[in-house]
Amino acid sequence: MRPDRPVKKPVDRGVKPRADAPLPRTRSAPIFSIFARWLDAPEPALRIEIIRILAPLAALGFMSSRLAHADEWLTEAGFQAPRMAAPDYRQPFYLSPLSTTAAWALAAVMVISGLAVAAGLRARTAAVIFAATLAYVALADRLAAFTVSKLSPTVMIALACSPCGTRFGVDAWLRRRRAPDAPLPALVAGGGPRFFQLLLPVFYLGSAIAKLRGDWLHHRLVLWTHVHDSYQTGFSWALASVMPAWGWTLIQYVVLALELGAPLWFGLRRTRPFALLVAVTMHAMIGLMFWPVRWFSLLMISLWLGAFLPEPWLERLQARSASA
Amino acid sequence: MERDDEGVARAWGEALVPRVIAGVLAAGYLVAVLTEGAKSGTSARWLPSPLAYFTQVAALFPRAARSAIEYRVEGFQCRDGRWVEIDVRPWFPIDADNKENRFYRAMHFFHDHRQTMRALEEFVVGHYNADAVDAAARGEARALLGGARFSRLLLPFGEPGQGTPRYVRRALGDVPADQRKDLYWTPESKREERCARIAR
Repeated sequence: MRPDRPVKKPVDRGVKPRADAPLPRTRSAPIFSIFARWLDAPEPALRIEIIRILAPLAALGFMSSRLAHADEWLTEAGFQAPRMAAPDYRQPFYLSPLSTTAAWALAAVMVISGLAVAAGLRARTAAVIFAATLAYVALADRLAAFTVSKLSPTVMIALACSPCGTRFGVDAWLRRRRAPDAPLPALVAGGGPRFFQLLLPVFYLGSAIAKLRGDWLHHRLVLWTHVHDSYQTGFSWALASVMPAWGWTLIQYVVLALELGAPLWFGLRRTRPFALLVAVTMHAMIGLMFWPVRWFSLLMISLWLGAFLPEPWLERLQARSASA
Repeated sequence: MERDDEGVARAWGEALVPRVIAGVLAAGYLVAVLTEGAKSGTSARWLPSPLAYFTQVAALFPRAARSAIEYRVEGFQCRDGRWVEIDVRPWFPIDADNKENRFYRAMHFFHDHRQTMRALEEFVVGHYNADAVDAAARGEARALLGGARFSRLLLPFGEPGQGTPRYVRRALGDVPADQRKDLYWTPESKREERCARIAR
């Protein structure tokens, strides 16, 4: 007898899909919702207040040498480039020289509004006025305009668009006096801090690309070549005299790596504190080595600290100030 | 406008429109800063010049310096008919002693722009002669100028390990001729005209 043949189970071949079958319902791409959540997540109030206090002081420090000579700067008492036939990078927008009275009035408004921002007195309104004066002088005199001149108006507008001044300032103090039991906000909406957290990596990535397109990959002593002119300080001269060539090359590549990888270093929680330390050290070195550039360094350090100081530090500082 | 909601301060309350506008402007600004850093002049292609100007912030020190650059001025003394170095820092007092001063910047940006160089020459000669007249009133004799000559100095700084000299502002006479380039000078006809006017 032949054994029974095993009964073959029919293979489940499924159902032939219809040609007009509806597509399965899927969720929308989560990247946008993650980004939106990140953008909107509250941040410690101190983040924006650090920038609100330090950035206008750095901008005013930069402007101080110009403010002391407002007549040379903005009136016909000093040299003013004549109007060009067509706007170009040297004169993107022509503004006629001011009268002496108007120049000193503008200088006074700039100082008062800048100090008001730093002091937290009507900070957002003051930031708009300060930004307007900064933008005016940046356009009016290309000869005395540098990165600080062009970046500061944006920083002030970003502050004006954020709820800055709710803590650590005159307005906060007055509010506290009026209603001692009312709680002060510990957090601010994410938009303001996020702008600075995006601006810095974008700024440094742009800077790194400019360096890559320039000499930084094929010239090993770019930094060393910049310490021999009137920017030179005793510190940079001493370094130029004692540091071997490979030391300059090493620093050059550390700077390039920091800038090129800024979105990554500052995007990852683990690398962020180390990147912050390197960035602040880099700007401290720039200030010490190129003394006229110290205000730029202070401005950038204030942005770095406000944007990326670790949250537990900020919360501890806030708690300490609240208990005080 | 501000609203304290569960301990969170908001600049615009719950209003969506200003937040969206601010977000779009911020995104546009960040793109412009990045592209401008990546390639100079990119943002000026799609933004008005005055706005593009504020995005030109990121390209810092992209190139190595080949030499230390300085600018100098000589005045043409009508009395002796010769060029002598003059110090223009008193009329450019902002950051007078470093390369951020406005005279250096004028030379850096406008050395090839004839109209501006003419205006600069008028400014320098006018101020020098006005000071000379004031000095004469105090009994100090100073020759008046009929023109000015602007030069760029390209000062070499050697190689690492050769001993870096401390920076000092050098007199024009101490700089070898091959390290100097004259960029603009008052035409002879203009010098003669001015000197003739002074002589009268």
